[in-house]
Amino acid sequence: MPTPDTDTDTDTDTDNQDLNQWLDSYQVAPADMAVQQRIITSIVSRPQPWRELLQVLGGWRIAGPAFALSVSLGIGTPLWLGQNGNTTSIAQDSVWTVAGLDSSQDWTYE
Amino acid sequence: MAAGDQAAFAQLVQRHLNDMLAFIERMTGNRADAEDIAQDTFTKAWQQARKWRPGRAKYRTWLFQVAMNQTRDRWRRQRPTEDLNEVLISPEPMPDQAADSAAQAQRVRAALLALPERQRCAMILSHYHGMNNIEAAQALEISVEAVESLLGRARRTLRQKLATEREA
Repeated sequence: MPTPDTDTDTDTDTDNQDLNQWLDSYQVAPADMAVQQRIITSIVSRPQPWRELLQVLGGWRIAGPAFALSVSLGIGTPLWLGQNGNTTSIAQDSVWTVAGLDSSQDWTYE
Repeated sequence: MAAGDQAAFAQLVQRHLNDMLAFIERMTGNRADAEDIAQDTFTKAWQQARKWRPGRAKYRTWLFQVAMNQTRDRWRRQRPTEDLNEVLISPEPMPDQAADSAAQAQRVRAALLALPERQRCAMILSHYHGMNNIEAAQALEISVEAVESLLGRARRTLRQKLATEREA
């Protein structure tokens, strides 16, 4: 096994130490509070997607009542129609006929 | 963080800002740019928090990755047709160049900026941020062997600069 060249190794270590010291002479200033605050504020004040949508829809004052009204209509209308005897339901057989899938019908093309 | 907790984000900024700012400033050689890129980095980290996988890399390493990508994006946007290193070698005037230590720091800064981008990045992560080769490889998204090679070449170049400086 070859003996390591101690002189060369020592030189390299010294070179590396010198280089490290040289590099250490370049230090940068830490971030000041203003920069830190600017970054935090930029994120905290960043509108979230649903908030952006809400703003497009006119904000809570307009979008809120409009949403409440649409929900009320959605629930209330079927109930009201049911009370008045109106119904939108159709018999299952009719659906098959309307869709043209009723195999009992004999379809002919003229 | 992934859940979008703003208080946690503020804490993360406090913990990592100095590291990111120092890294970006040494990469670009420009404080004002570094502050802007640091802001972009944290904004990106906030938006992409879900992309960080705890098993793959430390949060700090991932953040360096984001910072590096943001730095590259900035270079691309500023001068899309020029070589990155040409853009970088435009040192800011130091306010007190007469002072020996400031002049020395300026020379180190110029020497770092003259390194190719990846060598500079590996050198900064390794020397100034205490990353071992595995962490640097994760941050640079390259193999450990590639990091060793980059560091070897960077140190050789810098040693030559140092020797030239001493001779002068």
